[in-house]
Amino acid sequence: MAAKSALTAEAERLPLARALAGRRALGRLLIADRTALAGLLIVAIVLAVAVAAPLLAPHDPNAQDVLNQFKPPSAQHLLGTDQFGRDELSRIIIGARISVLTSLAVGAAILVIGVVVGTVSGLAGGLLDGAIMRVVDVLLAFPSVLLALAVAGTLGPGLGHLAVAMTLVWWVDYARLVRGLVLGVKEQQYIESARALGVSGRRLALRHVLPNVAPPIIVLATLQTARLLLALAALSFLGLGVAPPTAEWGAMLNDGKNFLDTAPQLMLYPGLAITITALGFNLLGEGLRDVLDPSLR
Amino acid sequence: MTYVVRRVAYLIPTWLAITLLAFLIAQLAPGDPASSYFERLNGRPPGRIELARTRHLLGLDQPVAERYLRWLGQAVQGNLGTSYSSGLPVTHELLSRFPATLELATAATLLAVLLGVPLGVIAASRRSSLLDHVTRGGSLIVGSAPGFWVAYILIIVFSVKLRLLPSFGTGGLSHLILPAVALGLAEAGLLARLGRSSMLEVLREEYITTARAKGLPEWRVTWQHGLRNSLNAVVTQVGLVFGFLLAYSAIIEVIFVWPGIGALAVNAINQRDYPMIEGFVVFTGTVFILVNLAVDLIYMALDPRISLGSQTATAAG
Amino acid sequence: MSDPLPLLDVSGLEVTFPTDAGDVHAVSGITLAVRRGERVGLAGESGSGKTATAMAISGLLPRSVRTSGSIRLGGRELTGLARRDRRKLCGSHIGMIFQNPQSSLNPALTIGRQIAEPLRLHLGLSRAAARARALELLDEVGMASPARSFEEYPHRFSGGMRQRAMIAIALSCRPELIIADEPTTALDVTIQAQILELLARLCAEHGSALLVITHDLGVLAGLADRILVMYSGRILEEGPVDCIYDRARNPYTQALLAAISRIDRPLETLRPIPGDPPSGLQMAGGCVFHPRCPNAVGICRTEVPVLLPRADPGHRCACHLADQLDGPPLDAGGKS
Repeated sequence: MAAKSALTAEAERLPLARALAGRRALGRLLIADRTALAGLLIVAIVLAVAVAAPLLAPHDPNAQDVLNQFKPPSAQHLLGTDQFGRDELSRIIIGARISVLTSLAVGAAILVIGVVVGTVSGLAGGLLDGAIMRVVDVLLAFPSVLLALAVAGTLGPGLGHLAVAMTLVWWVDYARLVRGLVLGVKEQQYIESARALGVSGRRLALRHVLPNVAPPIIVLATLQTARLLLALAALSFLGLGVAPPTAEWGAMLNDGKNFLDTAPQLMLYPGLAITITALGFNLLGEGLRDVLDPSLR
Repeated sequence: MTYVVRRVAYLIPTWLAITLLAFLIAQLAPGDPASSYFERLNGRPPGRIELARTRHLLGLDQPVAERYLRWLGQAVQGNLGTSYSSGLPVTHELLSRFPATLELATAATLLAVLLGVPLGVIAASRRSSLLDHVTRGGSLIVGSAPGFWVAYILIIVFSVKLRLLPSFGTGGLSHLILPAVALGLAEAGLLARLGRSSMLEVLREEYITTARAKGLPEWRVTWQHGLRNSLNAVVTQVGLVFGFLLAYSAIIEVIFVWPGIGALAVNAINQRDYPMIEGFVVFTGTVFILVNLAVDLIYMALDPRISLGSQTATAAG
Repeated sequence: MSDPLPLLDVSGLEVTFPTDAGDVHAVSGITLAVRRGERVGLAGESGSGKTATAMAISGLLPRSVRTSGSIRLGGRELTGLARRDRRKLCGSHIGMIFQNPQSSLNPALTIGRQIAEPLRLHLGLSRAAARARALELLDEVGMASPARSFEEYPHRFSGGMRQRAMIAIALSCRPELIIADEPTTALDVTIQAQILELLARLCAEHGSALLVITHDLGVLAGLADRILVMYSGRILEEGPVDCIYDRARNPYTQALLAAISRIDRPLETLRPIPGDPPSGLQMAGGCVFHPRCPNAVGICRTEVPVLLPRADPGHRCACHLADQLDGPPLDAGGKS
């Protein structure tokens, strides 16, 4: 732990935590931090598009019109058309739905799994903790994307298989984080007092431990979503996940790579979409981290 | 010394776990491996007797645990089976293509370190200035863009439009540049962020104030006193960086048709070459563990506090 | 006194920290002077602004902190100087010793290297010459086997030894002024006396003035010639050491004295000061001490008291009621 100089200690007599009593203060601070705000905006827009995709897409994303392939942007096709004459903008919009919602679904699954495992491991201690952590270490000893690649590749094609593979691989970050947090909280006095009052295990976990452990988890969740999005794009680029002609950002990049000289713009749009979305989540995550732990600013 | 021994000993169960992992992954394969093996060799699905014979040949009629142990016994000796697609020994294939991956990874890391670390340090030392924000923003954007997409953008610009550099294969420096840059940029972003946050922490330590109180100009405080300590922290993260490299390089290798083990693995997955997939997981896992061990040992050597059996106070007063 | 002009002349110093919760007024206008070779003690609780004062004098405050007022060293005004020039004075004219020997030394460099550094920087000594001088210094501060200590890393030494190394570093270029911020607070009680004695002796030998900053009045008793008492950013009382200890007039000083143990008083008479020191965010109107002062009356809440001279030469006190309390000082029993 870094030893704070007497000077810093003297200056920060009013810790931010005290000022943050109450979510209203948090909200105000979040608005004040421009990075977080920018991230929040981007995420909100993307989510809105993803959810309302079928309503927003001007054309059927799978409608082919081979006579009109590789058309430049026009009034009818704002982003032009792809190699099969399909409207690029519609494909991007529908792609948002699949890419973003899949990432969020996997994200939610790994959050639950990771938190449960981490909490159990942290609170239980002893052999169970040791065994679980050994599994976590092994899984972390290996780059996640490659592992997911191997698992998904073995399971076979399809978005479902891909989602399962990703879930099986990415829950470990949460588990390790939550376990660490739980271990820290376990040593606090109020846990001792609650225990002394006879509060049971499950109640202890839900009411006393989790609320104090929430902020770092939230930060991780936003950043993890960005990572999942990028991993999903990479894996579907490699041919896993959705099958053609379904529109998904990674798959669209896989298609586009064949037309680098004739229509390089087909690589541009899906890539930009992924980048902007991931950027949004990253900004939000970084902003949240700044708010919740300003000493890292 | 005991620390080193303990550390090495800890590796063995981890390595065993990785082999188990690889084995289990292969077991996930849908369909009957004996059937697909036969089909691959003979171009048609097997009859019932042929199927039974193939299963016996491949040792698939034995219980899972025994199969694992036999496979493990082979793996420890370096025999990771035979590739379904090429018919060659997996170990041989991996080893012959590993140098190419190593070359790419080294070039990319060199680039990343030269670019990323100084940027991270500079960004940390002038808090909240323009350079800090630009670096942070830059590495955030680079970190949000899919690495393979950046690779293609580079290809489009330098290969297709400008016709300056080749976009695939090996054959000298010009072929190495684009893939190394594609890989290195993403890595540089990661290193810059690691370096910056580590440096920020170090700059808040008290001995930095002491250094200033000695009258050292700010640049010396940063580079001579600060950097040394923040490098320690970054080095421990090299394991993380290396893992990142391994993952990314597979995709980069596929894109640029670079003959490394990553491309081998992706092809193996596409062709359902399970021994190769297994072997790849074990091989990469082993390399990964060894790299982490090396990093730990280097860190031990760098940080004077963690030396052979940390002794502290020699005398009182 | 040999030289009438003070070596260090601070007047009207104000230091303000901008924080997320608002501006913190660490120092609200203080004046202090240190003459050549003099030993001055600046006493106050944590949060009184004493560290901020020290850092302001040496110019080590971060850029975001605002200061105003005048700081003159050897007649030269420091506040207008560029940071770079100000930085050059550190180590050469002003030496600093910090509170935490555990964390004040760079763990990645040897002790010897850290002592030699200012020597090479300010005095331009060669490597060999700097090493020789550093060995001398290590011997002066009482490090056993200087040659071996030179090559060792800080973590091999105890707190006391590290503080000796810090003293060696601070004195290495024979600065005119040494500022020691809580030099013994983090040390074992048995070591404290040794280090203080060492510090005093070396300063006398080198002819350096010494400004010791501490919350512990006991530390200053045998060390300082003159004491200033600081509270919440203001000087409440100042004077020669025996004056302060025997004839303090400010209720805060008296309370401080009542809170420490003395050989000539029974132990049960220790009385802590009720309340908490203010955070510096919201300043109390009037006298800064009035919320905790047992004698506070109306005027204390509205008007800031000014430092006014008392009977003894050099003794000044800022309290509206100083004259009323002119009898014997508040004794242990709490009767006036």
